[in-house]
Amino acid sequence: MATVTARWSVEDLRARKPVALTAMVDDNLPRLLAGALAIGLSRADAEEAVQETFVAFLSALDRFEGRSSVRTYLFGILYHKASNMRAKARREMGTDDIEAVVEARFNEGGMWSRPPRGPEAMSLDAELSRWIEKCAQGLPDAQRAAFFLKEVEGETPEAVCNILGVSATNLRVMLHRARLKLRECLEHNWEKSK
Amino acid sequence: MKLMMSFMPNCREVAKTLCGDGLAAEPWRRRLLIRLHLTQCEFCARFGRQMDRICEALKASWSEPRGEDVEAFKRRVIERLNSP
Repeated sequence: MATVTARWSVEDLRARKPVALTAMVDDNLPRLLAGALAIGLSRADAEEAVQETFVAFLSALDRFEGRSSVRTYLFGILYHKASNMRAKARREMGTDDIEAVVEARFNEGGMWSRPPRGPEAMSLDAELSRWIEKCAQGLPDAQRAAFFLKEVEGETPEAVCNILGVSATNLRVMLHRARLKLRECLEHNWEKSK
Repeated sequence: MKLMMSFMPNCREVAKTLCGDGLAAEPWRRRLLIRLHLTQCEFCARFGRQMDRICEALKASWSEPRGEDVEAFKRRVIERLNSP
C-alpha cells in the first residue's frame, strides 16, 4: 500500500523533517479527531487521544513496515488509546439482546409480524438527525468505531479488522447489530415523539 | 409465479441482508429477487429506507470537525512533534 503522498513520505517523517511532520498532521488530524469524537470521547479526551496517537506513531515509525496505509495505522493506535482511556475495550461477541428483539418481529414463515414503524421521509431533517446521533451514543464503543470506519471513513473490511483487532466474522456481527440497534432506537424515539 | 415465489427471500432474510453486508454483496440472482421483494413489500422497503437514512445522518454528524479551534489544536500537535 502506498505510504508516500505528494506532500510527505515516511522517509521524510523518519528524518523528522518539520515540513513533512506538519503536512502529515494536516492530512490526518481532522479525520482522527472525527473518529475519536464518533466513538463518544469528550472533546478534551479526543484531543488528548489524537495527540498521543501522533506521538506514539512517530516513536514507532522505525517499526512501521508500510503494510497498511499511514491513516489505517494511525486509526489503529487511536482506537487502542481510546479504549484504554475509557477502560471499555470490549469485543462484541456472544449473544446480544438486539438479535432477540428483531427476531420477535417476524413470524415462523419469516414475514413481518410486527412491521417496522417510524419516519419515512427521505430528507434529513434536524430532529431526525438528532435522534440518530443520540441513538449512536448508546452503541458500544467497538460498534461505533466499526460503523465510523466502515461507513464514514469508507475503510475496507480488512482495514477495519486490522484497526480494531477483530475477525471478519466478528466485524460483520458488530456492524449488523449496530444497524439493528440504531433502527430500533430510531423507531422508539419516533413513537415517543408522537 | 408460484415457482418464483418459492425462490423469493422472505422478510426476515431481506432485513438481514439490508442491515448486513448490503445488496451489493449478494450474487446477482439473489440481488434481483431481493429487489423484486422490495418493490412488493412496503415494510421491507421502509426498513431499507430507514437504514439508508441512518447512514446518511451519521455521515453528516461524524464529518470532519473544522474551524479555528481545530487549527489551533493542529498547531499544538505540530509544536509538540517538532519539539526535541
